[in-house]
Amino acid sequence: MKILKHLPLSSSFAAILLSACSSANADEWFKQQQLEGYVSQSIIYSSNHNFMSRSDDAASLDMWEAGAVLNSHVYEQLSFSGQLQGRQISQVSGNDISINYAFLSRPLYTDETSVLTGRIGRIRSSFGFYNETRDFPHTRTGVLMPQSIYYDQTRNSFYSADGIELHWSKSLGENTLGFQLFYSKPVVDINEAQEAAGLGPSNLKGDKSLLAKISFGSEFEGWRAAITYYRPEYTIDLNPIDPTIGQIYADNSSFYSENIVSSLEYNQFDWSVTAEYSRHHFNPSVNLDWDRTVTNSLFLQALPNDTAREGVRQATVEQIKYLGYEESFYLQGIYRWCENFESYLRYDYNTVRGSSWANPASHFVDINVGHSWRPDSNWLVRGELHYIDGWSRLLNRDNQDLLTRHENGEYNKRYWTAAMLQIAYRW
Amino acid sequence: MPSTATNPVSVIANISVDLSALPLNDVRAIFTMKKRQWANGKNIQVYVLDKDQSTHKEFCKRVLGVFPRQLQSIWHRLVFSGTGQAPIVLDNEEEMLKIIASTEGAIGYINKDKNDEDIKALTIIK
Repeated sequence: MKILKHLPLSSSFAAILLSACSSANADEWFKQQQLEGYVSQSIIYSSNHNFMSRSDDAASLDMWEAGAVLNSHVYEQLSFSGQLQGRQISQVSGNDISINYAFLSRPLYTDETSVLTGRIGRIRSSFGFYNETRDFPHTRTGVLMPQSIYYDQTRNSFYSADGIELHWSKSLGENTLGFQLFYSKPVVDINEAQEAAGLGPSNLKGDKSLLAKISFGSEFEGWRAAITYYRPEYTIDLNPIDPTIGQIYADNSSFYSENIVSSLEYNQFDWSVTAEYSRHHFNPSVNLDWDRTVTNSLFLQALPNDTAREGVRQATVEQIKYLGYEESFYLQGIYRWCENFESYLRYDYNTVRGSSWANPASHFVDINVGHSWRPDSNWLVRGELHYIDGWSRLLNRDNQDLLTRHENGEYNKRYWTAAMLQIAYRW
Repeated sequence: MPSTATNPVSVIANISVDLSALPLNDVRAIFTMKKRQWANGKNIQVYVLDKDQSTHKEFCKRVLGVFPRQLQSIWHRLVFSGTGQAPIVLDNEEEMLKIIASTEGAIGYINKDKNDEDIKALTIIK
């Protein structure tokens, strides 16, 4: 249970609430609190692969979510926001109960049309239009977020971080102009680090992170657009295993993950079209321990001379350097039939730049269609169908044979399908 | 676009609000919790009716031009991102009249049949 790692945050949370209770009229104070929650259960069936559950040719109930959010006035204009969330996307991945975010917020400047707000604590990384609200079933379009941009492989690592944020917004007629600047220390999730199995990472530590976002437009009729630049930096011992060389040693290395997300949406009363494009560049600074690598590699020792080994060394550095250079986008249309019924169609695309399209491990193209029914404002029932080419958004830890298949050249399961049903309740 | 059918809903405010009309953009900014102050610097207190009440549904569709769940989705984004609070929800229109009449800077809405002298109805400029 990851909540144990967040005890200092939990203690601060409790101290804030207790001090507020004791220092103010309790009745008045409780009126100013907003506590909301949600719970969802999904059924997933997929062909050939486990997709967010043990769903390979079986209907799986593994995926569930539950969360509680508290928004609280602490003192005058100082407020607190926090979310406790439980979530499981497969039995293999295990459950994840954590305080996703917990921060203090205060308006620093307010006038009739603009607000400048400062925040400090564990804050959500607000890249794209929807990362901030990806957990809440009622604000998602489907059972899953578009995996091209809001992928679940490293969700926790990029979801929130500990730092300080400035958020400014200004109403300009029918549009709102917004700007966010977030400086933080990235959160590290060991399970997700291990997900990058090919890199053999260990001793991963968050260093620093910068997020800048500018947005403009309206959530009513018309356009809205946003650009996000997000760059978390880490220190790491990189120990990838190469099929030919064997273990490669690169301790005390570092890397940054540079993300640029461009977002565009057009809304009308009964329909919306959304497109988001992301370029993700995983850029390591490799501190290669070549002597140790050679000592442990029969292949390198068997090479005729140092010149040949130097050629392999340079090729290895280049290979690591260009890992994880991805391009992703999705295009999504939504039609609202009436108050209770809504349908969507989405084309979701991810690829590793420069990779061969013949290799399904380096791309993920998901054409999916779904329909949702909201019998009232609390309940939500939805279903969707996916037709997918590729594996790049599958969780390695749920599909342990993927690397073997890749090495054996077994690509016959590159095309696969999934069907999902979800029921959710909020209060 | 907001529905062109007859609008049965009035946007109402406390007597202290020094306005008789509001642009639609301002109404949208206020009820999505983006505009937080009146021109005189006083805080705006936003009140809404329960989401399943017919007057709330009519307000969303005919005044704001969205389905109720879209407005709720915007509030959810505030609440579930921790970046703001949703408006205060009242149980019925009698309570709405009472709260708006007694709360400085308050704004809400009621069915046009239920107008009251202790509050002011605002004209929406489209």
